[in-house]
Amino acid sequence: MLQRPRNRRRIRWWPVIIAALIVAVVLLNLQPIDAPRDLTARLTVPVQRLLRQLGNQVRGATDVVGDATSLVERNAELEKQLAQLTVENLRLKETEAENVRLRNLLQFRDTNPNFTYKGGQIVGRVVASEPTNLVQSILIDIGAKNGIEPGMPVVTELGLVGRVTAVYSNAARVLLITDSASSVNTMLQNSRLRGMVRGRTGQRPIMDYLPQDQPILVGDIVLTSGEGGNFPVGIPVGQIIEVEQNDVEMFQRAVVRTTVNFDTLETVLVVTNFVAPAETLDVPTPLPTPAP
Amino acid sequence: MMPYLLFLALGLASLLQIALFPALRIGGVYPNLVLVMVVAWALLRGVRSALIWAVIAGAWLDLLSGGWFGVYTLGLMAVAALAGLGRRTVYRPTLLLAWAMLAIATTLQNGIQVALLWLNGASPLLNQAFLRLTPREILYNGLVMLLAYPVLTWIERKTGHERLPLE
Repeated sequence: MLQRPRNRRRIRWWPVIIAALIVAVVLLNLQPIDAPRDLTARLTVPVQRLLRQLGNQVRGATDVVGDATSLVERNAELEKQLAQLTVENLRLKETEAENVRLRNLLQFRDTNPNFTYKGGQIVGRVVASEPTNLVQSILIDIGAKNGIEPGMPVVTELGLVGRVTAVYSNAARVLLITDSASSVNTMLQNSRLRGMVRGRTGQRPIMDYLPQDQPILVGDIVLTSGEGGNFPVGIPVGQIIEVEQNDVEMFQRAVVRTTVNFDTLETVLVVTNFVAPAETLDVPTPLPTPAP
Repeated sequence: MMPYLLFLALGLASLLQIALFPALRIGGVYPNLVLVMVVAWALLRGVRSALIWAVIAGAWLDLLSGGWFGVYTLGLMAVAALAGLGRRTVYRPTLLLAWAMLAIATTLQNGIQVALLWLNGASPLLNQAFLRLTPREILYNGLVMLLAYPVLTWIERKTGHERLPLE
């Protein structure tokens, strides 16, 4: 008597799993299904933008609370006042911080007049990341209707962020230079040695293929070399913080601290008129301070 | 629970995971809310119900992400099946069991994702990322489980006698 319902249940749910597995495996072999993703992005990007802003505010508030905790040890009353003011001024601080970022972006634009930028109309906001920590890419709230196309370089006033890999009508996906699938042709500012910066998810990127017989100095600035035609020449990428040299290997490598802090990235610029130059030129670029 | 409500709730959880949680990253890692929910639900309600959650939430994540379609659905389905098996080994699920299952599930899901991405031509450097990030992710997911488990326990009690159409 008891066997029947058990069998019936098995018959009801195992086909669902098998069917889902088959569908998933089939879909894995099809390249990106752009239409449903475009529709999903169109419907959800406004919600994502709100949630991201909320997340940024929570992060900001947590930082401020952390500061306030240290103040408590010195003055309890002062901390109470600070907490109250923090809550009251949270929105204002957020606006002020955004103003500073936008001003910096405009300053970067003024010092690099060769490029044109698209976004907000000009600036794109980061609205989402990948669901997993293993893939380093972001979604920005500007897309095809703003003139964004796959392959366009993405920067901030501090340096290189990544490259547009997928474009929807109102959003675009950007592969960060820290992703393990990312590689950027670069050069050292002082020695002009060429190499390739490769992303390592969960670790700092590494500059590879540096010749063994050349000295690499900690503190050297890494710039895009423009080779390969994916990125404009002279965009800051980071700074060498460690050199890995092994005599049995053909090349030496160096760990790079990126100038952009990807943990707190909120706004970006997309270079929309970049065309790969016929010949690579060395263009001096104002150097920002690397991220801590 | 009404099917459309479940669809919307898991959609919201997926949106929280990709939009809000990455802003709260600690040590380069943010928690996997959907994974935590599927593991907890598998322990509370069993494998069949958790598989439905895994398929719906996985489809949401696959639509919202930029990689190969099906990677998240497959990973979550495997996690739901595993956690459902864990439930059968005990008389009553506890938070401690939830943590243990979560650690295994986080490792399993990341492993599946790395394997699928690797099969599709991802960099071998991804393996290093898996080894470095997974322990941190287990810790952070454990913190989220601390908050999510009581909430899902309450929902399970409230909807204890209801069944989803596919259950």
